[in-house]
Amino acid sequence: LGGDLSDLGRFSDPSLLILASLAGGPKHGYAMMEDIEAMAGVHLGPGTLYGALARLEQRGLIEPLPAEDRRRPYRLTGAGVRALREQLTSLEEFSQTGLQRLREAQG
Amino acid sequence: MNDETRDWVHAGSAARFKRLESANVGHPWLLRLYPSAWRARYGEEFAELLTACPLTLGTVVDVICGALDAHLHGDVLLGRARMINRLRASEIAVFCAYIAFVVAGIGYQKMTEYDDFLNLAHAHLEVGAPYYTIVYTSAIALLAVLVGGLPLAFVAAQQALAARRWGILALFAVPVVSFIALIATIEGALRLVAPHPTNTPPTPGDAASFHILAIVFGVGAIASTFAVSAAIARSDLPANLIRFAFWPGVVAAAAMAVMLVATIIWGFALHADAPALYNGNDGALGSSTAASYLAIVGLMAIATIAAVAACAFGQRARTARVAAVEA
Repeated sequence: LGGDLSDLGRFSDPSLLILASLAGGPKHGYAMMEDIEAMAGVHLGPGTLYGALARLEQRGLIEPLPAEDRRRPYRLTGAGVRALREQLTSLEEFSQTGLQRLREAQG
Repeated sequence: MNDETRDWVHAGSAARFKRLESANVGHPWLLRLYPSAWRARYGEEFAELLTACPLTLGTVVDVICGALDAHLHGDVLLGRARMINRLRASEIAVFCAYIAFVVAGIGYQKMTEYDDFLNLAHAHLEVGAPYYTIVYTSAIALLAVLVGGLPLAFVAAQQALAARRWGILALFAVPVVSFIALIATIEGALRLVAPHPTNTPPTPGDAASFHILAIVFGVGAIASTFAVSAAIARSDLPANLIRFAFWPGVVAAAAMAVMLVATIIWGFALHADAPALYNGNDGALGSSTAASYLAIVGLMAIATIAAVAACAFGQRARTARVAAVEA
């Protein structure tokens, strides 16, 4: 199953935010929205959130847990953990390269 | 109702969503923008989320865009959920087929428990080999059903207890009640039927007791199978458990096929080596052995075909899912 999120189009960034949110533990939709807003300052609308959730579930990166009342929590799968680590490592390398270039340009 | 919606009725989501919709929760007019299959899967939790979100113009636009996306990419978005539900349906079908096979197997065991049959199995390899193949393969089939089914039943019961879903717990109680009823019937029959020498024709009392026992056993087996299947179908089970249960189901179906072939070979061997026994009256309640044998083989064949077809259905769902992901 694909761990690359870049082919998700407009849902690639929300998908990464959801994976990062679920890295802190299982959450239902509203808890994810609040967590993502607090963590990244990004407000995901319900339509965007569930568009990304459905794609992540389809790829086996997250899985639903039994519903609590009418809320259904989701959690990362093993493939989801690997995909998130891969994406964050790539971002970290990108960030370090950019900062290094800034330092060289200023120094 | 289309195929996708029907898949999710098994998990109870669609029924719960309809109740939610009729209760006017979660801005139903926004939910109705989504395709019915999507609503059947995500509607309940999405409605709950909409209830918690303030309804702004931005939210409405976002939901409209989400609904458009669900219409355009519905097959892709629901493929995994559909695969899991089809796998679950195939496993339930294998379980039902296995119980039917067990009923036929009990008939075979009762028919061959007499010394004449056992002595023949010991003396003639062509009768003994298929006979012991059936005995040992039945243990493999039972083990496979337990390995695949017990985790599902345990998790379903645990979740039902935690969520206080009494309906599912009541379904799990049906096999227990059926078993108690069967034991009570056996006890009652033993008290009513007077002992008489072995190898004598059954008395009218024997026949009445046997018929009552057969009815209690049959009704109990059907009710228990239906109840456990319904409980598994209505539970929110982890996808990894459902995927895991597929292979034990395949092993059980393969074991049923082996036992069916062995039973057919056993019948031919019995007919060739001991025609008097084959043409005797050792079937249920002294009925024709040959007729009982043919009825047993018929039921085994129907159960095996159903189990193999269910496995093929499950495998097609898995293959379609892999093809969709690779595409």
